[in-house]
Amino acid sequence: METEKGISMNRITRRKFLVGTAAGMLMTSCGPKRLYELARPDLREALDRMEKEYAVKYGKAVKVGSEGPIKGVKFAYALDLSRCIGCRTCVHACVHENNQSRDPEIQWIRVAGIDKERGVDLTHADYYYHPDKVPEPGKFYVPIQCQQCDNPPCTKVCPVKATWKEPDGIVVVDYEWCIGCRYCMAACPYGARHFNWGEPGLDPADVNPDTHYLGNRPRPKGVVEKCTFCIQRTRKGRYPACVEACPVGARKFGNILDPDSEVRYVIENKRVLVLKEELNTIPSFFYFYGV
Amino acid sequence: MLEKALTGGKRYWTWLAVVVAVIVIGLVAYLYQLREGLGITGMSRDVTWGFYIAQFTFMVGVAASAVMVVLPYYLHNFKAFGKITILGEFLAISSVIMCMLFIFVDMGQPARVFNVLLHPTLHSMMFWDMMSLGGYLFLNILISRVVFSAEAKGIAPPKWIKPIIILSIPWAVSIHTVTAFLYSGLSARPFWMTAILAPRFLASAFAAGPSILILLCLLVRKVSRFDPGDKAIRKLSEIVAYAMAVNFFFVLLELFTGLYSGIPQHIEHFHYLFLGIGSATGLVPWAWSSSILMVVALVMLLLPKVRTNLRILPWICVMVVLGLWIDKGIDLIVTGFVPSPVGTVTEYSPTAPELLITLGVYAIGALIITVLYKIGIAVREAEAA
Repeated sequence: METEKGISMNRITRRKFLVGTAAGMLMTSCGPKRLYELARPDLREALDRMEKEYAVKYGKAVKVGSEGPIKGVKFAYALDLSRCIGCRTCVHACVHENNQSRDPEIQWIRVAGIDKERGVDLTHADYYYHPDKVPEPGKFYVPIQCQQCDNPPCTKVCPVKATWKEPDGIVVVDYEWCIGCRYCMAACPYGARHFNWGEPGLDPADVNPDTHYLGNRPRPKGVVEKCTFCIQRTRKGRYPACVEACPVGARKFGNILDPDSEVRYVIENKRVLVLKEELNTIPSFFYFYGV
Repeated sequence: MLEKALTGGKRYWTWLAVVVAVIVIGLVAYLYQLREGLGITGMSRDVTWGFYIAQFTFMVGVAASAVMVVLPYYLHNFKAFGKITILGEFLAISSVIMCMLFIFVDMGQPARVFNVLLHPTLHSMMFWDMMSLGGYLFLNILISRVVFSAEAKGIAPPKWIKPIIILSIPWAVSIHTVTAFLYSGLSARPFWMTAILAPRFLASAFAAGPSILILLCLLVRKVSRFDPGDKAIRKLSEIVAYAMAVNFFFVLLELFTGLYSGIPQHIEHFHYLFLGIGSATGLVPWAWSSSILMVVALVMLLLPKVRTNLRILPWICVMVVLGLWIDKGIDLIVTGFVPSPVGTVTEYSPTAPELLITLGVYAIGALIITVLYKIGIAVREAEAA
């Protein structure tokens, strides 16, 4: 009697166990996966699919790259506040390079115009200055974009691990995994994250076909995006678009681990500051006074 | 038991028809939002959460407040609440479902929302919020089902349910605490980053929730033969009085710390809320009307003669609910975004489709609570007969 009971109970648990395992396996095999977790060949396959979609959508070949971080490289940025003239050339170069939606308008860089006598005080910044000529007398300018924090508050709050910091210091977003809850936007102290409030308006003629899957590839609506230090360029040894576009040479970029790099020189020899140092976000984006 | 919801008078069916009509309108508005994106709302680059998340926050409080009838009954053996614990639990069930729907309609990619469960992310408060809300919903469904079906059969509820009921008490506290943590853990938002946020949430919840429950009790008494009893209603009003007083105290603590310390990042938000910044004064009338409603309600609640008068009490409750709803359902969330962390001042007001979707979610809650109360009342009436 007792043995019988034992067996029958055992059977139920075994059945339960099998059903549970099967359900679990089904979920992991059929369920959605983050692009980040895919094995290299599977990722390439997914990116090929994307390329095909973009080709149909924009009527031209769009390359979706997947260059990984380079060993021994950690990117850092330095911006010379004494040189910046507030012309916003970087803002528009960024929009073009990174396939930002033109309508609704998304810009990853915003430039704060601040009175010189106030110093770096964002509470009185004016982002919508429009004089005939920049720089205006008595003003200085602080362009703000993602600070690529080493202790990013945005990735901490993401409930699905759709955003994370890469080994080379770039904070990226997986547009296929983001649920669009915008918690990261509430958490970012720099207003550096941007949401696609509608289907991105991107004219095929404007599409930059050289893209990266974690960077400037065209985005769907309903997901968050941000500056990636032009991951599609910098991982191939090029400068970010904003650095190239700056007409006064205020923007410096490079590998902070390389003692001979320009950013390293700036950090070691100039008066540098980071925004909101007291929040312990540890930005990889430095501001300095070059002259 | 569900069949009891299928019999009812003309008034009942008319009400249900109205509720369903509002749901359908809300659904149509939601389909529009699904097609166009969240750009159809009043939210923007700088104000990235709006009406949906604010309603969610308010309703979490209402859900948590069921504990205010469960606790006195089960821990203090306050018998008068015996008849209405079920009303509190039903209110909790419908509120939690509304909370989940408010989160859902706020998602940019709603189809992916289950990624939260597929990839549990322990360092995100949103994950914990989903866990605590889900758990609370489960607990309340289980408890009300077990206790109520036993009662309908005229037998005592099984013993094993008691520890689960006790568990639901701290769990109720947890849902609103974790919801406060969603906001108070953000270094980017000084307006929310205050340790008093969770206690304040709980205090205001324990005022607003029981106020809604009083109104529901009075309504139930009016439309059915089930009488929750004066004693229970008066006790609830006492709870509201205490909670309002505590909430008021917490608000003063918050104002003192924020204003006396004089840190610009703190002051700016209060400035925007109560005085406006430049031409941006959208919340000023709301902030003051909420404050006035709450102060007047508090004074009336503190006077026993006024509070115990069952003809005045519903009006006090309306003031409490309205005042706290403005506070949590409008002011709290939006003010956290104005000014933005980089100093921009962008105002927010909800759009028509946004309001319709919100109404739709409230209507779903109303539908659920109507059906649940209908069943509850039918059983209570059968007992009384």
